[in-house]
Amino acid sequence: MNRLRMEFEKGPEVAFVSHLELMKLFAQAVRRGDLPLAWSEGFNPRPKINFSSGIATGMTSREECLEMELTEVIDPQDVMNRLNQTLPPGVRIHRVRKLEDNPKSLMALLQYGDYRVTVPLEEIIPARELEEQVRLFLARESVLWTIRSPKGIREKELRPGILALQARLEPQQLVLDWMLKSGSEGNIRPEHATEAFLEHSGHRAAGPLQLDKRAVYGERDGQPTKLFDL
Amino acid sequence: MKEYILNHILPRVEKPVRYAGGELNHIRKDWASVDVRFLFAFPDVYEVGMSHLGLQILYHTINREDNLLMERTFAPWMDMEALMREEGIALYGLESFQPARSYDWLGFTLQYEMSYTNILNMLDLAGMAALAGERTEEDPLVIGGGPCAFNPEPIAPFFDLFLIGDAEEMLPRLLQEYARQKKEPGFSKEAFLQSVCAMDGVYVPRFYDVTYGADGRMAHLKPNRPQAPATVRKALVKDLETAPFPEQPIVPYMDIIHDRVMLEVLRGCTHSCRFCQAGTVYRPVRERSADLLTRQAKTLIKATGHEDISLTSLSTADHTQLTQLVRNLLDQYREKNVSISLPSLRIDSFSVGLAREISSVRKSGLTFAPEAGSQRMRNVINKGVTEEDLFKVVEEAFGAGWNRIKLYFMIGLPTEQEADLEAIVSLSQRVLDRGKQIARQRGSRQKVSVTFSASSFVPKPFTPFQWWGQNDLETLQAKQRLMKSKIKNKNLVFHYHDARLSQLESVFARGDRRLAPVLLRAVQKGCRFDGWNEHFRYQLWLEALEEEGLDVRALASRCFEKDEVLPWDHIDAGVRKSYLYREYQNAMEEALTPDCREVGCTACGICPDWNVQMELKGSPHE
Repeated sequence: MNRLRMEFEKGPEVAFVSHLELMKLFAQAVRRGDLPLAWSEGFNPRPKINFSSGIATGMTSREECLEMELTEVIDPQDVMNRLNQTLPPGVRIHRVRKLEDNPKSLMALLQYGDYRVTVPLEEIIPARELEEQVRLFLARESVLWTIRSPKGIREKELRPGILALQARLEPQQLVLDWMLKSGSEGNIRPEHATEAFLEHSGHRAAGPLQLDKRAVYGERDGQPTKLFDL
Repeated sequence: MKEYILNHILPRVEKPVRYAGGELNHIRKDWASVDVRFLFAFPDVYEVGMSHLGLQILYHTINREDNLLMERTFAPWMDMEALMREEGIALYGLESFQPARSYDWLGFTLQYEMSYTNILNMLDLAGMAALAGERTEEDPLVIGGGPCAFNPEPIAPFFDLFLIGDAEEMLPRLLQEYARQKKEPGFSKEAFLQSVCAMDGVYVPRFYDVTYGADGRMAHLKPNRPQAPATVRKALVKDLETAPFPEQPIVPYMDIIHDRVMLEVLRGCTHSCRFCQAGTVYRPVRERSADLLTRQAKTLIKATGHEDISLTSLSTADHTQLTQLVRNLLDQYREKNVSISLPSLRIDSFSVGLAREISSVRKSGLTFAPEAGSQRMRNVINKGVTEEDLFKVVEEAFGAGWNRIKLYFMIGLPTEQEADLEAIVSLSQRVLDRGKQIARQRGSRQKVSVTFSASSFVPKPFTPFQWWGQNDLETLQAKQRLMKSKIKNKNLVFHYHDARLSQLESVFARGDRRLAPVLLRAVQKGCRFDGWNEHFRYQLWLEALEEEGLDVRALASRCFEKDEVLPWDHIDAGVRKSYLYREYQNAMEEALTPDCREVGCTACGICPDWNVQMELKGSPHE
């Protein structure tokens, strides 16, 4: 068996591709590259490509992780090069490594996500005031956010999942860099955190939020570590 | 504009990937470097349009010419349309995000009569006048093609021209001619149209005047320019083997209706089913060879990475080299998890044996189309299949492990009686019973189910039934209720569609130019996506018809006399009108007409009149 872990980018050209469509996209690229992808057994064989989590529709991602199993041993660099030739515009693999024994799945290893949210603004916020709003926001013990889903309305506690927030102003937009809890043990969505901050600070977005995931992390010795490197 | 759409509009709509473009194998050219810019407009949403093989064929055919460019656009869904209107964003091409009005040509494919409202709506979203007569030299030329172009009269006033028949050879020729003329001084759209209106397949509606008699029937449809021919011959690609096919189809990100490689294995059909328009207008039968198709499959899988190859045509099981083709493909792809599918199966054991070979591990349902429940009715429509044939086939299917069978029928066929309707249910029930019996014998405990669907028959131009009037609405609805009431078993599932939609389809399928104002009113009232159940507004259609002084019942159920002028008489699809009428009479006598491929010429006329012949690559099956 040949298990490879790859770090790839989902660029602006494919921002609107959903997660399921992204999975299909990779399977097709593998087939175009004539790579010997492993398939699951059973009634409905699926390609053995796994991700750490779904990337939301509309979100770009700089350093996303996936794992792929091939039925033959092929030089990882070779696999990466071949895939980069067949992948569609906007998707690119940056790093690849071979996995030795049976590590935990990416989904299980995922702990944090680093997100950059760009908020279009019509108002002007003085830099001092913004600093203060961030400080007050992070000083709160509780940040409750109302989530509407097909299952109904519920309140979610966001604060413990917010590890860091940095904010800066740019012409006509506010840029928020979040470090948020991510994965199966708890997941904070950057849109929710952002909307909660905007409500807290009394500002309104003048248009849709732009979401860009900049990195994914697991944990080693209690420290956030890039998922690829685990 | 692109940035604004991507950042400010798309995040606010459902399935934004419909409007983003950028797919693998899309083609972007520098606008300044080409002579002609053509925008292909599919009048339904992205995921429906991207399943259309015609789009991929023409996209490839036009774009491979260095001086031509083709881009795509689709009907925006309601949420996107609302935002576009609110923010003043015009319909745009997915490749360059340029507004539709800035292209030289705007082409619509006419797949279905009930997509016409979307066409008019898209013209509006493009900022163009609906009527061709109100558009200027600054507007693109608007062209229509596809199956409904064989009766284009209801939408004729909205188009500058139609291309009737096979488009892949004629369209590039038209565009190159346009490119050449455009560079000459004194160029005008009128002069261009005059110069091309006699070419095969080209129909310029404004070059023809229509008059009506006092009784409301059509009296004449005649040319008003010397260059315009009295009869428009369809465009015909004689040699499918050398005709262009898309070597690098665009691969949508989105899960579309048919996410697969489509290999067109043949065009045309000789079964002569009397309800079928495609069988008539796509004659003669022309096959591609198994060798060519095998090579094409390889190219297409390499370019796309799709999981499935669909062998597509009107009746794939008739291909004379099908066994060889399927063996080749299985050999090539068995190890690679690429499956092969046939869209539908002929009712004979050859087909099931074939299906067995090609089905992947998972056996999804098998589909058969008996079309009618009683032998008498099947003879009327010339679908000579017997019950014995059907049972032999379903027994093989059940015996081989299939648990789900789908059966397609029609109701509202000419001469239909209650007994014929009961026969549909009874036949489906007996297929289910047989299936359960066989499953028991096999020791299988999986549930056996039979789904049968009955669409309401719509008489179409260029068929033997083109003179016959559709059942009225109440009759169709009563027939649907009757069949529902006869179902005893919960594993027998009945699907049917809104008969009111079929009624309107009938109005437009055999309609004339007097329907154009009705369409305009319907669109103004808000009709769009009529083919989508949740958006079909029958009341608004009735209003639109009434406001034009027209009666939906009279139009949908109209009978034409034998020698009456039909709104499509000026179009020559190859098959003689006299042959169609003879077939109509044969239908009334329940007489069968054999397949000319097997028994010899049945004198439809196309081969002698057009000096063409069937192109079969192997020898006909026994």
